[in-house]
Amino acid sequence: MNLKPLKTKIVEAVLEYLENRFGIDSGLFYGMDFLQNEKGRVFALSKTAASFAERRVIACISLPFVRLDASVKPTSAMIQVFGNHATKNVVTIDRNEAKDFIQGFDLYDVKHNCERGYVIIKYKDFPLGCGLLRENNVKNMLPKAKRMPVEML
Amino acid sequence: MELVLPSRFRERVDCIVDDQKKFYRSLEKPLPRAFRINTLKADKKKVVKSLREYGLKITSVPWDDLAFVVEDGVTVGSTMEHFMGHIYIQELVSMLPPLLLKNEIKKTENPVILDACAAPGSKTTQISALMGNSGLLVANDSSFGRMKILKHNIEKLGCSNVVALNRDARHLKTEFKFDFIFLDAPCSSEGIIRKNPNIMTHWSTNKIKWLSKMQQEMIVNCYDLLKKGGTMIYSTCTYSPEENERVIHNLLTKRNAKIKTIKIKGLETSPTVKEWNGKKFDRNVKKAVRIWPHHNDTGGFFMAKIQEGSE
Repeated sequence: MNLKPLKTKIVEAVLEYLENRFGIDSGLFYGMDFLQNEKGRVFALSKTAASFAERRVIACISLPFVRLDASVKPTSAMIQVFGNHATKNVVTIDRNEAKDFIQGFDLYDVKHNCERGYVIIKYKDFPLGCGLLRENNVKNMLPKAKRMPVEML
Repeated sequence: MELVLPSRFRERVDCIVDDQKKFYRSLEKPLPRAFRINTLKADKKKVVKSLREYGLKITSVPWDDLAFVVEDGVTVGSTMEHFMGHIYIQELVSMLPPLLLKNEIKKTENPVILDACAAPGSKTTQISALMGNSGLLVANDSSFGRMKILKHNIEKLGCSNVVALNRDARHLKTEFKFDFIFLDAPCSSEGIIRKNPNIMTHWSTNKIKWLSKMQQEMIVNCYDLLKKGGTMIYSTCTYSPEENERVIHNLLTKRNAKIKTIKIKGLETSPTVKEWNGKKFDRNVKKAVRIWPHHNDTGGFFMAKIQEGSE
């Protein structure tokens, strides 16, 4: 994987989007650098790690932060770390819905007070991942590798 | 089912173990299921409270405040905490190497660390948590196939200071020098018999021979990547002196390395082997430690703390 630093203007735009869409304070990401791969995936990492990664071919890095194409899609990995700082566009679900979501199922007829688009799916204090809200239904955006059956929650 | 072990293996271990009966009896017992709390994503008190509310019986471990053992037959693999990466299921002895450098890592500002044989990422994610996601942690592994599980784990546990490389640790070169290096070398894995009894179907003294050669090359190359005064932890999960004491002895003959004493409060460690096949090891090798399964109800392990000695 080859990575290049994300342009400052784009970093600012991404952080502004997260602040406007979810109320996540951009100050949380102070001290982090952002790198982008060929597929438009943006990774957030410590400055020392970023300066090492951008100068060589690497196998992989963490933390996947957002994916950039026509819009900004926050990753579930990022949401699980920073999602508790969100103040809006958070869909809070119940126990059965949480079990379904974690197994990769879409959610139907959810109660929410959110705008259409990407939302944070939350159960109790656990920001589970990203969903795409269309009317009252949520398309599951959890990566397949993360999906699993959970019995104790 | 009775555990079948190669007779050559028994002959070799009988020479070095303190209590053969207890040792072989311990191998027939299943390994306790253990996990650690991932402080990058979770608060210890909250996690413990939550797991106990599920009705899980968990007990803390005397030598590590973040490690817990789960009562027989119960799994934490289907808990919300496991899905969220708030806990990580890991064998107890596998958690030891990072603990040996816990204080040094916490005292170093923006540490630069190499995990030379990193996949599947158990130690990598533990080291990243000790670093509090600061500095740089290079997670290297020669196996391309195992990179996928490494990637999965560093993402799941919320690490943001890890860069993974897919190189052979014998030939790894970077312009960076490292404050700390972890070399958990590929080995004959005799120490994981309790976890995976089938491991012994692949066991042979020839395999030990070539693994030892590879480990000797790895340790010298990794030693050369240390900063002046930097520290490396060499570890294996095997009992073979060729893969443990022999490797440290060989490093001492080639480089001006210093071996540091290891003490872990609450963990019973055993002395190293002083000689093997009629050849005596350097007297400093005895500062390394062995961990036998019947002493702490764990897997078998070997660790040496090595300091770059040019300072």
